[in-house]
Amino acid sequence: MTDRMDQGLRGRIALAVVVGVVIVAALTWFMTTNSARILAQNTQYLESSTSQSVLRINEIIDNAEMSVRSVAQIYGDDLGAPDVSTRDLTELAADTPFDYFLFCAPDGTVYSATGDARDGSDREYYLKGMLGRSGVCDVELSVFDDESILVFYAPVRYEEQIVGVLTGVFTERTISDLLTTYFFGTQTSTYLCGSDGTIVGESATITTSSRFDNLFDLFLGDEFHGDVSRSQFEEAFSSGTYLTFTYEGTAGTGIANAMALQSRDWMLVRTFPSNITAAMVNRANQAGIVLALLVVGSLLAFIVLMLMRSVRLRKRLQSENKRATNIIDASANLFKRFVVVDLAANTYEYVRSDGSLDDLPLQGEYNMFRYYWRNRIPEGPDQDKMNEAFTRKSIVEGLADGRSYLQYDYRVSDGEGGLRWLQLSMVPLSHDLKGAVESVLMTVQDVTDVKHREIAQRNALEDALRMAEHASKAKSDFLNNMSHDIRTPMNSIMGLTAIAQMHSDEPEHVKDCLGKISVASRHLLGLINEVLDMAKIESGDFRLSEEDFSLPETVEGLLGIMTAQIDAKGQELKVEISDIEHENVIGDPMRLQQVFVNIMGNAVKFTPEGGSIGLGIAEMPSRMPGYGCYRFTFSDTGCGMSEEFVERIFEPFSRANDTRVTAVEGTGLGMSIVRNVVTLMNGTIDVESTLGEGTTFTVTVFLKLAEGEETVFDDLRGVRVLVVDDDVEACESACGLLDQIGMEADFVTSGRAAVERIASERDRSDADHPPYRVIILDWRMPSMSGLETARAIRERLQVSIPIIILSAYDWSMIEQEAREVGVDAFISKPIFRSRLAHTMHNLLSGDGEEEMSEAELLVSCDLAGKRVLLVEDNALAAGIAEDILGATGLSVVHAENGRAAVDALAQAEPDSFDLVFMDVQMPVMNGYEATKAIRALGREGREDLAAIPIIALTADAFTDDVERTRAAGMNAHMAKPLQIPTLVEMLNAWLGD
Amino acid sequence: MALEEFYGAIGGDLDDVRSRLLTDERVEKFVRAFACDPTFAALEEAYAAGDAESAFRAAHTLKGIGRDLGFTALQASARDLADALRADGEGRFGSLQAAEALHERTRTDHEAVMTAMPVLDR
Repeated sequence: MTDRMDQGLRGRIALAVVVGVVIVAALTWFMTTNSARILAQNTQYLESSTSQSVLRINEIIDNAEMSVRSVAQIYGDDLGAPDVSTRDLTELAADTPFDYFLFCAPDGTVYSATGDARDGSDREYYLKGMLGRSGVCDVELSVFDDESILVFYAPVRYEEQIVGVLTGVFTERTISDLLTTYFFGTQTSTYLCGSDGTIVGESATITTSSRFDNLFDLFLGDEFHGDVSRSQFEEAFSSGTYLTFTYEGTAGTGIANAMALQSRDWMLVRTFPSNITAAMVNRANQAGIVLALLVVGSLLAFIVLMLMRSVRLRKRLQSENKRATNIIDASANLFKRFVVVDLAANTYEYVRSDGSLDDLPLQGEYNMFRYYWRNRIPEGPDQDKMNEAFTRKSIVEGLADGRSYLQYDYRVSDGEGGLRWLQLSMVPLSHDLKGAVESVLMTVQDVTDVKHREIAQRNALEDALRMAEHASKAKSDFLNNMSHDIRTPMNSIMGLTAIAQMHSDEPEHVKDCLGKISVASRHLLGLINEVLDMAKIESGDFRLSEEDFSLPETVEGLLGIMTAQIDAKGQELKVEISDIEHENVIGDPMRLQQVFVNIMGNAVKFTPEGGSIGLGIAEMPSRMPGYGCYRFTFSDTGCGMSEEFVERIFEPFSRANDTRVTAVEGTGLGMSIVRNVVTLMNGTIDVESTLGEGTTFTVTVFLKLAEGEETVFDDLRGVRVLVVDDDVEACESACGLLDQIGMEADFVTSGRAAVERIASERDRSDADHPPYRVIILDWRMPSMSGLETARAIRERLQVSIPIIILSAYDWSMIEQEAREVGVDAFISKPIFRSRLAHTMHNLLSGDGEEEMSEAELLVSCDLAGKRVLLVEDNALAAGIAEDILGATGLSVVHAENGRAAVDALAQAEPDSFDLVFMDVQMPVMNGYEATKAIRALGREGREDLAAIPIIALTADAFTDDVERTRAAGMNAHMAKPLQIPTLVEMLNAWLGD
Repeated sequence: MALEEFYGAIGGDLDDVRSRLLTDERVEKFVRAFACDPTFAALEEAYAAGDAESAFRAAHTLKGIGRDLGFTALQASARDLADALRADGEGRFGSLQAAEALHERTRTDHEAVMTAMPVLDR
């Protein structure tokens, strides 16, 4: 592009130069013609001036001649004597144009006015005058002054006798004055010359180094170089022809012309001063030069402007170029190379290259380019594809219809034996007149990583698909198997039912069928449970419950279930229980039982008759505080499992493919469920088995230790708790649990309310209104979250009582932050009473706060509005009980015996009593009978009586009695005498909100 | 003061009672009320009537009262008596004669309480 620009610029500059040259030439021509013109002009002027002068001088000379003649005549006429007195000469000269008169005596003596006499006998005027002629002649050296003078002579006659010659003289000075002329204010040089060139008189401005007597010499000399030859001079002068010539004057070219005086031999030579000419020429030239300069100057200015503009343009182009280069360079990070391919010219040019192409020149023929690249691409589909892609036809077609780019992916050898994926993009740069692409920009990007990721992704997807298909197939297989396994017992049940119906009057037969139905349905239930459990596990819904239970009880239950089967197969059972220090634990006894039954069941199943089954339970030292480590060992002398199966045993639906095994029924899910349960209990399960010899399962679980026997802690009685949860139901249920533990719970439904409540409670706390000692905050609450509330309580209220955060969500993430705020413990919903109690106890037991006195305990119950029926036959005891109960605010009604109690309840309005304290040993109708009667009433329509809490007051606490109370329909029992903490707890449990 | 003396005299457990009845007023009230309590009379009647069941019940109630009021000795003897008279698995109550010694003891302890009563008035 710059070339074209340069061309234009050069053209313009050339043009300007040409114009300049032309102008200069014109100027030169102008100047020369100027000279010539001016010379010609001046020559004309000179000529006219000269001719005028000639006329004038002619006239003057004529006049002078006439004058001398007339004077001579007059004088002669005047003469009285032939002697001329010189005195007269002065007079005579007075009115004449002459400067002075001279008189030549006949002897040739020339007399001046002053009387001087000189010899002038050789003078022309003397000679001619004496001859009686008059005229004029020039005298080079006058007799008296040695001047060059003009003499006008005329003979003086005295009586017809020439007595002398009167001569009038024009001095040199006068002659000079006559000749002086000015041209344009400048004096010019005029010469009066004889026909031989002698200078008669002159008025010259021309200064010469030496004095010239002859004009010819003057002008032909080195100083003037007149452009006329001597012969021309001589001829002109002798013939009296007009002559004009130039000479080199001081200032320049001078013009001179010679004109003959009329009827004389003299020539008047006048010059046009060269300096005038020169000045004129100069002036004219100057004007021309100025004009030319102006023009040239503007041309130059034009050129300069053009140059500047071009420089600026070039700079801009350069910077644009640079910018473009920068952009390309920057893109080099993405694109290794840029090639511009001109399809029409069949050329390529690398606008940018990463220098990796040693063999390929940066520009050249497109065919070479294609050839080179074809060889770089390994043979195969890529090569064929790219071969085609690089052809002009393919490119044009590909980019037709305004498509903005083409892309191709292909592999290229990287020179080290590996392959890299390249992505080539083609972008159209220009189109021809028909709209087809004419040139394209190709760039290349290394997309190896992207491609590899793509491929990896695809592989992963394929794998996932395969796995999904596999799982799906496994499920279908399972369903197929299952349907058989489930239908079999179902069919049995149906069959047996039919049989029983057929033999409905044969009790034994029916009994037998029912027995079998029972077995089959249990079996079926087991299968269904397993399937459901597995489904739950798979969907993640499987959760363990948290309950207090006794390990020994659970184990006893297990043995209770298994003994029958073991006995049936004649197998031997060995149980070994190592010292279990902590018998009461917290966990999910049902699931634990399930694990045991599954494992032991398998042991029994796969052990032939007469084999032996072993169960071992041991408590190991536990490193987890608060948790016990229990190891259960199940061993059998059964058929064992192959190593390969041991690895698969816990996978769902896996069953050893073995003739011995397929005969045994099962869903194949049991072990899988077992493993899940064990894992949930933070446990491990190991299998050791030898084919043909037997198997040992070792289950190690961590179970949280239940503290003590009671989940009710004395130090929690009556402790005030504030529950904060925006969910009212959650609050109520939490408060219910807390009441069951024996605590005094209130709730508010927002963090803000909690802060206010705590503040106000703290302010008005005294013996009657103890402040809150624990706060339970729900985690997620609108407006003020649990954490914010905790922070507010800690910071604003400066309250240091323990704070528990309650959350249905995983709080491991917030634990850190919560602990920093000052939260002491976390409980997850749903809350279990034992958990809550334990947490409370843990939080509060270290406090060492004084326990509330029993009086406070009673008062803190605040059961105002509740009515209790006290059934006690002894008045004193009743009185005591009434008093004690009354301290809680309860209103107590006393019935003397069971009969009275039943009547009282029956006659009272439903729900008028909230609780019944029933002494057991009473006359007329004891506690058991009364309770039964009350519950009977409950069944007959008094629903309140079916549900009303009846608490037995027993003096004895034998377990039999406890059984009887339960059997009678009582809800709880309390030992006499009344212990206030127990009473309070009982009241709170059954009457608390 | 008086209560302490009273309990000291009968060898009872005042603190226990206090912990349950809370105020000394109540304790005194009930202690006085004991004087009018018919249970012991019922026991004597039952014994006289040879009614083992009633005797058992009375002894049982007496035991309860004794416990309620912290009359340690009376409670113990009443308890032993009740145990002796308790019905066995077949519903037969104990022999009154066999329990006579225990009956005696109960009576003695009861009397001790009654005689100590005037202390309260001091």
